Amino acid sequence: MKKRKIIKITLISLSVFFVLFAVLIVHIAMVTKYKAVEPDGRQLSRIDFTEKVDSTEANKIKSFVGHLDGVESTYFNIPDGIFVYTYSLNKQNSLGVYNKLMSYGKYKAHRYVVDAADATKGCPAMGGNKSFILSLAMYVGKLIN
Amino acid sequence: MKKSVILAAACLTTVSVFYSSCKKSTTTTPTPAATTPPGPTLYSRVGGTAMVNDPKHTGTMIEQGRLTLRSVVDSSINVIAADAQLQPYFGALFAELGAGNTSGLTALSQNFTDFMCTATGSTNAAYGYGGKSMKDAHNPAYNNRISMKVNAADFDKFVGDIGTGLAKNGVNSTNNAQLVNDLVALLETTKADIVQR
Repeated sequence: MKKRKIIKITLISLSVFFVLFAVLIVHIAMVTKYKAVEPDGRQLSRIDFTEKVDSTEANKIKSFVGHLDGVESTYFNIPDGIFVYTYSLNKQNSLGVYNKLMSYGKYKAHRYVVDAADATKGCPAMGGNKSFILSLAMYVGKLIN
Repeated sequence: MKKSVILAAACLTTVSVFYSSCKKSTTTTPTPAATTPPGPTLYSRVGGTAMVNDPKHTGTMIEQGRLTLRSVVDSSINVIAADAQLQPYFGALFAELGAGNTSGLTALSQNFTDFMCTATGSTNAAYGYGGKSMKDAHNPAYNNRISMKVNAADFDKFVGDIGTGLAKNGVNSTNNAQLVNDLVALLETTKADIVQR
């Protein structure tokens, strides 16, 4: 009899706890302003030039790469010889762009490939570092919104 | 006796869960507005709430103010990504991705644009910035995405690169000095929180 009572109380307590926990998660989901990032498949890549590139040549490079399928924007940091470009992952890849550029101009340059350690570092605005509670809250948020 | 112990344990557990979940961060979420001068907001000066076609998403509309800020942000990201001095902060931008993955570029563009919309006075809830405070976001102790704290020189370089991004969108100190100065002043209001080294 006593044992049944203890089990009953424990079950009630656990039920109350889970209900309150669920309420908390829904509350967090409703007040959390984290927004899902639109998946548009854009990638940024970089090519480092080891030879001096003047503004005329830089414009040629920007124009050539800018006209490749899927490439959206280009920028050349001439003093440091760093060239970056954005493109759609569905239409282009960085090795393809690099090979085409090297065929075009036979430049002394190499692709910048970030190592595994640096790939995890970035400006906080790039997202990531969500806690378990936040991830759970976001999941609930998607269900109720 | 046992019944009260069980109930007390359940209450304590519940209270501790609520307390830890509602624990505030070290700083409040910012309302990153500079001292607002009289007259139109910065957001209205860069286009405001007039709806225009979104060139990146065919068939959808976007506020002109957000479109302008997004263009500046995207141009600035290219400048920043090509800046050797700021490379330690943006390694993940260049991580090679498999199909279907959203790159850090997309998140950076969206979040930074949201921040600028909020900071310049946009009242559109859909454009609101909901990320960490600037202080927490740039402290490795609270955000393991940033590898090190930012120093003043790097912050100043970052602001300079934003200026270059602005110029790539046709706004510079020659043709619109007031707007450039106001935007720089706005970014400078975040310096005290971001520079922690």
